[in-house]
Amino acid sequence: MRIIFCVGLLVLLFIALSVRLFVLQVVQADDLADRQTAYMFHNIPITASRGDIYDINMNILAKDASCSKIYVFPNNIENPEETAKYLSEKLGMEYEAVLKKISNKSASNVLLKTGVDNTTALEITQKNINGIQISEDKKRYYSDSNFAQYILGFTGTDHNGLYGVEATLDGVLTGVDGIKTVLMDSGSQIIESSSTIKAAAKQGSSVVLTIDSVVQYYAESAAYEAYLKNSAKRVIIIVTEPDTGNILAMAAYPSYSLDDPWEISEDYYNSYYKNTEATKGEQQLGMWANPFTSFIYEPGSTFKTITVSSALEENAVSMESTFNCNGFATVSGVRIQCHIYPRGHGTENLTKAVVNSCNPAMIRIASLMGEDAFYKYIFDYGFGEPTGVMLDGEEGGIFSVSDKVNPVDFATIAFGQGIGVTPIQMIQAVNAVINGGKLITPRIADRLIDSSNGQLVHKYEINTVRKVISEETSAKMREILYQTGLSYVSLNDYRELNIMGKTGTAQKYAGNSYVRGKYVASFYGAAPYEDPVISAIVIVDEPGGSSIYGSTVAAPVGGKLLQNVYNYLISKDKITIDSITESKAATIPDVRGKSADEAISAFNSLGIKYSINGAEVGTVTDQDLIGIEYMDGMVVGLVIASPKDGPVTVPNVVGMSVQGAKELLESVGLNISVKGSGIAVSQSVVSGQDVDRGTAIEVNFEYVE
Amino acid sequence: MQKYFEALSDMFAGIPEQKRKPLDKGVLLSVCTLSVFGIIMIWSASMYNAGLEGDSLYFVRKQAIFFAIGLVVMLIVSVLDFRSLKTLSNPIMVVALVLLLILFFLPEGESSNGAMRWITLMGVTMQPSELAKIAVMLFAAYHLARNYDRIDDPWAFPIVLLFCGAICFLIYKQPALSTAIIVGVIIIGMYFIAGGNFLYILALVGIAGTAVYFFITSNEWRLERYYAFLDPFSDIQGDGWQPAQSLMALGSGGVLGKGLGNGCAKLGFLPYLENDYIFAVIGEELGLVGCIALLCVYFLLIFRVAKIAIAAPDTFSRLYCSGMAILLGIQVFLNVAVVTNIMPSTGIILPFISSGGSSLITLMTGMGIVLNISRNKTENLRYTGGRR
Repeated sequence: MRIIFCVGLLVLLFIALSVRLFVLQVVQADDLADRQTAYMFHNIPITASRGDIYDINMNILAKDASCSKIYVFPNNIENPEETAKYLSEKLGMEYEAVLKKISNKSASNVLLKTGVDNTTALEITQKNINGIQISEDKKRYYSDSNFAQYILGFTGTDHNGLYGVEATLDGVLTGVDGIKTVLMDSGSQIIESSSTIKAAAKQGSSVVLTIDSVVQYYAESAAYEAYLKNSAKRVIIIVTEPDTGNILAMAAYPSYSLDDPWEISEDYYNSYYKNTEATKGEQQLGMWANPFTSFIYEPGSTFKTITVSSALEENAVSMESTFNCNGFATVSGVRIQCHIYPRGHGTENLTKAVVNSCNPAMIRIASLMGEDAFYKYIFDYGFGEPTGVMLDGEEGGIFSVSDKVNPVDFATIAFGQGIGVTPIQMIQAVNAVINGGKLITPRIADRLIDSSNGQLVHKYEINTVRKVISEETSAKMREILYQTGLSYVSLNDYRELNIMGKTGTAQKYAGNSYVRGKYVASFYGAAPYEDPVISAIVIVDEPGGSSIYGSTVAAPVGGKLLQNVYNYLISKDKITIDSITESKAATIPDVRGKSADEAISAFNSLGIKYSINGAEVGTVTDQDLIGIEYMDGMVVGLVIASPKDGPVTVPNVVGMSVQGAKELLESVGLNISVKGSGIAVSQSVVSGQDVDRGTAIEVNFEYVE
Repeated sequence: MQKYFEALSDMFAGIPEQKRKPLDKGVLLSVCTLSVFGIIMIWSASMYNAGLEGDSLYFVRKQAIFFAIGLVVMLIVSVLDFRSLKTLSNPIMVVALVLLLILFFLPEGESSNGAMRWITLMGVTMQPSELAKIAVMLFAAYHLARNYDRIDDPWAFPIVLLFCGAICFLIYKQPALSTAIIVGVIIIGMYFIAGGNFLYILALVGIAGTAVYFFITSNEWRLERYYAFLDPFSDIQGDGWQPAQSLMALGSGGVLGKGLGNGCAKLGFLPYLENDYIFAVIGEELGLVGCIALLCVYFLLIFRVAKIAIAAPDTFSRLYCSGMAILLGIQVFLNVAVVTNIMPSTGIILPFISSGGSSLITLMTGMGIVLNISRNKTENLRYTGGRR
């Protein structure tokens, strides 16, 4: 009887358990399952590739390539100090910063570093440290890290554009990140078979710029030469098509390197920060500021093109008007000197006044058309407000009109002093002077294309803001500027090109007065005179050599540049960026399965930088960045396995042919089991794992477009 | 000494033919079903972590070997002449005590999980406390049967109380409080079934209960476990980890489960998953249906053992089978109670299913004795006061 009592008791206990199980697995099931999901499943962003940036001839300037980012799961890190030490050494980070991040137990996961190259990531993976998880990331590469920096700009750690078109076109370049839901074990290792892609990443659109790499290269060389020759503080050059507003090149020296934009370049430091107490952050901000859109200077005599064209359009003067120069003019009792004071230019017609760059004549011309008219034209030429070019940090210059215009200020503006302009404003305005009077928004982006198929997504149309002067006035100005160009001895070498031009030498204004000995020498040139297809502005800031004049410092640079660009434009098919830079632009070859020696010599002959992971001799079993264009700053990681006994590390055969995969697997001592045909798309054991010698690796092949 | 050797040789002579009947196939089938099911669940529970160590079948292979050994032992025991065990119950008790005592003289290195529970001899680890359970059942059955006439007299069993109390104390000292509690419950239960006096039973339960309360509250980590049990999710990174993970595994299994092999708790989230917490894997992968089905199989087995007890040829057999039924019942209950967080976490395994050689082989040996008893015809065997 007592046994039956006990059995009855047991029945009650089991019923209690069943009730409890019912509560857990039916009543609270959803809540508990949600908790478990939150605990074990993690949403990881799949970084979308940014769009590429191309020049007008579809030469690649910037593109994304695969790399890795490293997450830590602080709660799974067993030995924070040791792990922090290892990671800080491997990733080149501060030990304290790493330790702080991985000790943050309140966060489930912490993004430690982005843009880690795949080889380093692989090395970290192979250490098998609990709590470290690696996922794919994208890194920005530039075809040449010292090329068109202020046009391209660069991206920040979170892959968003910070400067240049990377910033202004960030919205279209940035893709849409995807989401991958992954199951992770307690050591934060992803269980790939249980991971699902919730949303695929969508690459951003690619941008085709109006920039021509060859012209850009000429401009970069010219800027650097001028910087060296004149011991200048800075040289700024813009090359455009006057009829379309297309920017063909923008070069400035000194600048920074796109490879590591955070480092202050030596030349920039010497020009701007040598004897200052600027912090590194201030220096960086200064260095990154776009000079084409934010360098404000007094244009000096190049501005006379504006004065004269305005007066001609206003019929205040004609080509036949004459002026008399005694070496100075007196305005409201203030004596303003001509640049050849105490001599004078004597009697001169309009063309001669511009050729002579005569200040009293300009003052006279301005007063003939009057304040209101002159200021209207200045505004119409776009001064005082940003041009709207698709570049970062654009300033409007310094030009404003108060109710009571000081007659002296008005007089000096006539010859380009007392007004602040940016290089892009200046070239836009003078282009309008010679192109028939059209003020055109400078164009840097030509079109957007779909990154996957190259189809046109959006065309940036030419935007004519307004017509400032008539075609007739413009034709007169071309004649005047051609005559002016002929007057420069420094352009003698380029006479065949019929260059129109005007130089300027402006004293720099700092604090409340003009600084003696500090000038901005500039030159605006366009060619050929009959049908100007190119124009350029060359600005030499603070030339420090024996000569400081626009005609001697800036004009020869502009002349040579215009000649080079024109020669290139009329023989476009013969000159390519590769031929002039002797670069070895190459597609990174697939060297998996080759011996280490073969792979290294292949890379060396192509000028491709690489890093080796594993043994020095043996077979290449895995490789980064296969089949993509090699760009500046890329380091191709190679994993090399040496023939040895014991377990072998599985190589990566994805993307290889059946034959290639078979040879590679067999060369390291593994067997292959072929499924399907075509190109390898997956393998049964992922690369980097150690397996027994002779293990058969199942490889799935598919035909991929 | 002589009589013990005689008893051994008698035992191996087997049951006399005229007294034999076929063994209970229900028990044999349930034990084998549970064990094979256990191997499958151990495979599912351990494959991921063992795979990380390089051999995903490590625990499965071990368990399969233990099952094979256990099966052989169980079948051998089932055909022996079990009545000799009465004679051998005293020496078996002494062996169990000695083994438990040896644990206290082992060097620190032999301790595992901060507790001295294992003896490693020639590469084989064994848990003396598992043997102690069988020893206690045999010993108590023998002495209770011997003094069956004056079962109401508490002073009839000083030796039972002394030895079983000593076993409980030694196991508690390992420390393995939960095992000590199980042994205590078995002793009290057997005394109850033998017809013991209710007052004495209440007194014993009171004393044991007070002792357990004292033991729990006097020990800091037991208290922490207790608090974690009250709300495991409030301290999920600390002591609440195991119960919380276990609850999430069970809950996420729902009614039908995620399917064999599809559980997530095994990905390193529940330590000793193939052992104490294997029921969580069953719940996660096979759902409420699987859990209830398993409880039913256990109930059938225990019911079967209870039936054998009722039909047993003598008091010793009856008490022994009852003890075995209590052991199975209490272990299943406590294990599932821990996994479902009705009780604070303790190290109690699920019989036949949790991985571990000592427990499986001892349990199967114990079941071998039950099978043996089931083979004896009742009418030919009357109680003879411990002697034939």
